[in-house]
Amino acid sequence: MDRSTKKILVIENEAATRRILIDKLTREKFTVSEASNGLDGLKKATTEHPDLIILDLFMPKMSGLEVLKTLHQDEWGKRVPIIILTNLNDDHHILEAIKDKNCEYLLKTSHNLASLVKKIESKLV
Amino acid sequence: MQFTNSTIIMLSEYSLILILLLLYFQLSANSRRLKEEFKKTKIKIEKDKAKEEAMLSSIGDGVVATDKNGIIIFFNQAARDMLSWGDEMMGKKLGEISLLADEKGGHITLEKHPLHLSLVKRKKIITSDYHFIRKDKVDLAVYISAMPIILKNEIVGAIEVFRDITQEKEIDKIKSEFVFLASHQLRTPLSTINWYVEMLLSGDAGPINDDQKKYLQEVYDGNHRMVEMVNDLLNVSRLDLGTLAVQLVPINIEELISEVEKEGTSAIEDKKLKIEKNIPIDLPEISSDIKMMRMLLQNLITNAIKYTPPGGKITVSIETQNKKEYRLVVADTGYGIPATAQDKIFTKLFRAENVMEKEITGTGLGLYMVKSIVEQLGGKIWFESKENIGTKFFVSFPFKPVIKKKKI
Repeated sequence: MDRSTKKILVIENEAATRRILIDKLTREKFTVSEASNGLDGLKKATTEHPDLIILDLFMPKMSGLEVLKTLHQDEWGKRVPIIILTNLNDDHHILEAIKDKNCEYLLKTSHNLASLVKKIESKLV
Repeated sequence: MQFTNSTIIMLSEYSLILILLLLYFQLSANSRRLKEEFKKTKIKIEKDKAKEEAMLSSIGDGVVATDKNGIIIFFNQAARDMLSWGDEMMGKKLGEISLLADEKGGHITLEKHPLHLSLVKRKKIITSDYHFIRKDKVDLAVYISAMPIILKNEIVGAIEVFRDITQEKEIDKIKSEFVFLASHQLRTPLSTINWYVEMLLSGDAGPINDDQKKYLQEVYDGNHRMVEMVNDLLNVSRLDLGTLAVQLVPINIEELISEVEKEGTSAIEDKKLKIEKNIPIDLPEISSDIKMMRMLLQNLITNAIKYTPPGGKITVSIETQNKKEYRLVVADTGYGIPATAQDKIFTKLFRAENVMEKEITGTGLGLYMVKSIVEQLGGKIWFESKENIGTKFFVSFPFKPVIKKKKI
């Protein structure tokens, strides 16, 4: 797989977290785009149509779950693979919200960057 | 001098009258004394009664006394105020007029009412898990203490004392919510530290020498311990808050044990521990909450790995004595729990001295969580332990039928 042809959109409000994700994914030769809140993220997603979205949940302007809900109303949005990368535990309402959607739910503290890259690769095949 | 017959008769009559008069005076004196004594006793009794009533009504806690059949024969002002019931309480059973509910709102039947239990079991019953549903439908969180009154080995009645603990419960909730938010906020920088150190260690920012690698590994490990502690704190607060609602699903317990064991592989290999599993081949799927069950197994198995010296052995077994319950046993040949620490081992943040001396890291939250989970899943937990010989934890759960979803 030619990683440079694959575009990943990182929607994350925490600057340090966003920077390291961009840094790592760029080093791994992916094409990366970024947004620092839910609303900007949704706009970029619908205009840029990335190949995969990394989505945080606790964000200003629009929460990750709202972004997910809005994306799901769109045909392209239903298909795009989404990795929810959050510090919120697997509460019942999150699991309920992502049910039957093309997305995976990862806890930031339980995953290192290497395993995240592997996960991204498996979704892009 | 000579007495005529009539004189004698007259004298006798006089003496008779005199005797009668004497008797009369004697009797009236006695009667007056008795009357006075009676009056005094009556006043004393009334005073005592008034004192007792004043005392009982001044107590801030609700007090209800019943006869041996649980029929109310007395209640104080606080009980009247707290339950919002009046004199109509008299002659009824407490369980009939003051409906009790548990923390999830489930109705507590008359048979399980603390006062009834204290009469049946002939012992003191204490609980702070219930709330009264008052006459005006307002919920009131209470601490209840019910005690049978036993005279000459015979139950003559019972007394229930209850206290409004709404405020205490509210403070507990605020505390747990704070821990929940703080834990979430703490995880954000911890995950960033984790990832940056990981990048440095993997050479993403250029090659590093052995010393740098060693120091970075220390930072990485320390951060990992912090993550574990925050995760434990978060789980404890979720268990305390009750936000982890029990969701029963069919679980293949053998698979779950293997998954948890796999998480500990590196520590097992480092310490050259032997792990043995005794699980009946025909063990059916069990109905339980997968998140809680995983947490329970993680804590018991991680403890066994952590507190067993190199070369030791850990055995995880499932025993099915009967069709009513199954038992999980996690046994190790580890450092053991000192006799003096055994009654505190399930206390939040408690750690036994023998393992602290060996500098084995831990949060003191694991077994507290395990106990809380076992209770929420309706099971029992106990252990046997001898210092430097090993520990065996037993957890028993009732078998619950597995409900399979119908295929549509």
